[in-house]
Amino acid sequence: MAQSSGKGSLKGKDLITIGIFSAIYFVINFIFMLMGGLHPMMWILMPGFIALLTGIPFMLMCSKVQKMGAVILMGTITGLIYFVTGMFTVVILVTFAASCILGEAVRSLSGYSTFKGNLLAFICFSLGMTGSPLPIWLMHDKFISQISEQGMPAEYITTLEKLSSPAMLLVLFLAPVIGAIAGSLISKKMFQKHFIKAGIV
Amino acid sequence: MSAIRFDPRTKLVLLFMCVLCTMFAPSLTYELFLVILAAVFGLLSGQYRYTFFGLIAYCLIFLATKLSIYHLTGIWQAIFIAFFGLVNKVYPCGFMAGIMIATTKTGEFMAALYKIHMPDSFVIPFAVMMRYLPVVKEDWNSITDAMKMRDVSPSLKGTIMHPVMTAECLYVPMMMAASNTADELSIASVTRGIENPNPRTCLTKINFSVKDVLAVCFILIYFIIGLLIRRGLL
Repeated sequence: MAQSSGKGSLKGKDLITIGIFSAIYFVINFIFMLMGGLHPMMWILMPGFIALLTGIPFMLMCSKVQKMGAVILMGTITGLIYFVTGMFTVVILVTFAASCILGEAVRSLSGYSTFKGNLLAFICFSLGMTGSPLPIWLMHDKFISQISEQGMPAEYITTLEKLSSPAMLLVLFLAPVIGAIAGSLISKKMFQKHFIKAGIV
Repeated sequence: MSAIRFDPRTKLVLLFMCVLCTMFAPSLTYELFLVILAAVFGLLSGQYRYTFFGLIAYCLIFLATKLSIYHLTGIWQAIFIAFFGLVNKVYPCGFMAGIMIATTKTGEFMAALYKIHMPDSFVIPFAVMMRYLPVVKEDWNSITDAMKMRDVSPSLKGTIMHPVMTAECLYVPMMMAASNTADELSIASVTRGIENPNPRTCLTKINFSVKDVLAVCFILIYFIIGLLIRRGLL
């Protein structure tokens, strides 16, 4: 099977691969984003769930594009689409950018092909989604008044208030780490069971 | 009435303004009018079917939101309003983006992105992604059909009873398909010279005209009205 090997800049093939896997990543991400509206707890655990379920597309992309820039591009494109759907805040922009750069750095240090390196990169990448509920803590009062102005009901907000304790902040950050580790392990299993046999990695 | 063709860059500006409008939307009624404006744009661009159904869907969402504000109480109200609040935020932009994707050919869109000096490494994945999103849905449908034939139903019951198996049956074919598409598509586009370092050319002429300026003016005025209402000046 043709494989993009070696270093160097991204070629047409790599760019197309990134585009396709970004599409899948985005779809999974978006479904959970909408479900986060159902209950505040879902929203806080959202980065964790996303990490758990996007492990396979991320790892597959990593194994197909072993070059600099793949993670950053995936993050940029997903972020842009979020912006277009009107769910973007400055906080998520910052965390997204930071996590992509971190992920990219980890990958380039680990030489792109090792499982551990990709796992670490995926943890960094997954932490980017924490920027979505993070304003609850960062700009607590302003954020609460902003979303109640936007028509969020009082009960959603009181539940949110109760949840915005330091302990939950820890949960918010731990969830994607655990999710990412579990997601990567599942994808490793899937690789051995299916993808390597089928010759696509 | 024949469809008017807008410049792809105008559509990008309109979409961006749409995002700003929903971000600063002072009320639900304001959003309803925003969707109506987007619908007018859709009709002008000749997307009658899509616009019609999109508008009806939004009216239903609008009514449901109103109903849940005034007629529900307690926890159900909380759940529904929170959910509809999110849908209301996303819908106008999503609707607009749908019209944009339906009326713009990928080639035109890419040419427009190159005209605003976006680099190759951004334009190509972006264009591929836009094109691939509908394919994900198609793949999903065929996979679930195939699963039904083999008695692995992707229903709620099946998901709860065999979560790992359901996930495996959904994920593996999806990823295989994606991976194969990536290979095939890149072979096809390399043959067509996607790696050519020279600037890309496009047969369709892309330039601004009066109608583009008018459309942008319209949405700008609407945005300013929204800001004024928000400040309590109107």
